[in-house]
Amino acid sequence: MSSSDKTKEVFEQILAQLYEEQSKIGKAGGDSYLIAQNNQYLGKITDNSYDNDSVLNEYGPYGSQYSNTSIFNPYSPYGSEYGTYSLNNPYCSTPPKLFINGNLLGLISVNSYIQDRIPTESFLYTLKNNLTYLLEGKIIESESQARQLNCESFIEAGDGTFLGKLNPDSFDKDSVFNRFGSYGNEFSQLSIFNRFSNYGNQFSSLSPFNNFASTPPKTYVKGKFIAYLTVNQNLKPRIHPDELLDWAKKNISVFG
Amino acid sequence: MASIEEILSRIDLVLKENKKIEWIYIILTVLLFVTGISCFVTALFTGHFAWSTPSAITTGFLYWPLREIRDIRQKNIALATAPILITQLSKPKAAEEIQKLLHTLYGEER
Repeated sequence: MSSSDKTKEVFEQILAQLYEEQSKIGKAGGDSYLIAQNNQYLGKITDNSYDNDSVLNEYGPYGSQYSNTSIFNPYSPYGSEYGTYSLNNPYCSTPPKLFINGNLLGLISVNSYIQDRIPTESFLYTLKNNLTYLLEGKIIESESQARQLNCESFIEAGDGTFLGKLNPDSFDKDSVFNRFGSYGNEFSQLSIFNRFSNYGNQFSSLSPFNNFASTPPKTYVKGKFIAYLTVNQNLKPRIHPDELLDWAKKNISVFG
Repeated sequence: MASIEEILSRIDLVLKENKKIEWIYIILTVLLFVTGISCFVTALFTGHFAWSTPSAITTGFLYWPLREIRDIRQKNIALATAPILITQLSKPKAAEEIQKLLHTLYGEER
């Protein structure tokens, strides 16, 4: 209803303004922080989540989902799927930089073509679950490792590429069952259903549809390896790719 | 940042609109209630108890408008509180409290 929208809208506007004002105050460098490629400071990496400048402070200008300078705001240029400087934009060539103790550790992005890339999932997982590790300049290496530690259900290619979630909900954008998403679309390079892609053709060793593949995709449920996804009868345990949806409906909850 | 006056006038505007909608809900709720009561009285006077069925149904329908009225009132209270938070608290604290208000009204997801 329009009234409720306006109430929410006015609150969000006030919040955005309050956070904007706070983010304008100059920040000292030299510590561990995130910075966008337009030089917008995106918050401090610190174990004190009450620090107003901390990325982990959900009520601060860099951690709030309502702040325009937060990577957690799904509508900000730094956190949106379409943002010019966003770590969640798969086509962004100018993602945020991560500095630890004053040294550049890498660029945080979901765009796998970025050099010195730190996968967003890995960064966020390490940030939220193993901050000491992050402050030592270490990141949980692969996206897959982060997803496993996050207890997610997903498919991983033999070369470590993420090939989609096993969520039976066809509206989940990351689900392998979403026919319009990056991982379920038959024209996507990252889809096992693209008969011409590296991960879907009959001749690739990474494809589930190759009868002789030795490194087919693996399926993980709640972070644990369950079976290979392959038509190769010599590999066990295995799930036939044509039976994947039925299998997922039986074994995986839509709610993760 | 917008001045306090601008924020206050924006809040006033939304409050006014919310009031209008609240009154529409109240009028429609009263109408529903009166219709139900009329049917019930008719049933009593005519002795045809089939007339009491609509009153039962309309009473059931009162649930939704009453819930909406309660929600709008909650929002109005939150809106009325916002200017005090902005003027009396420091900016970080005001932002925190307003975000908490938003979460209470609409849940944590955006």
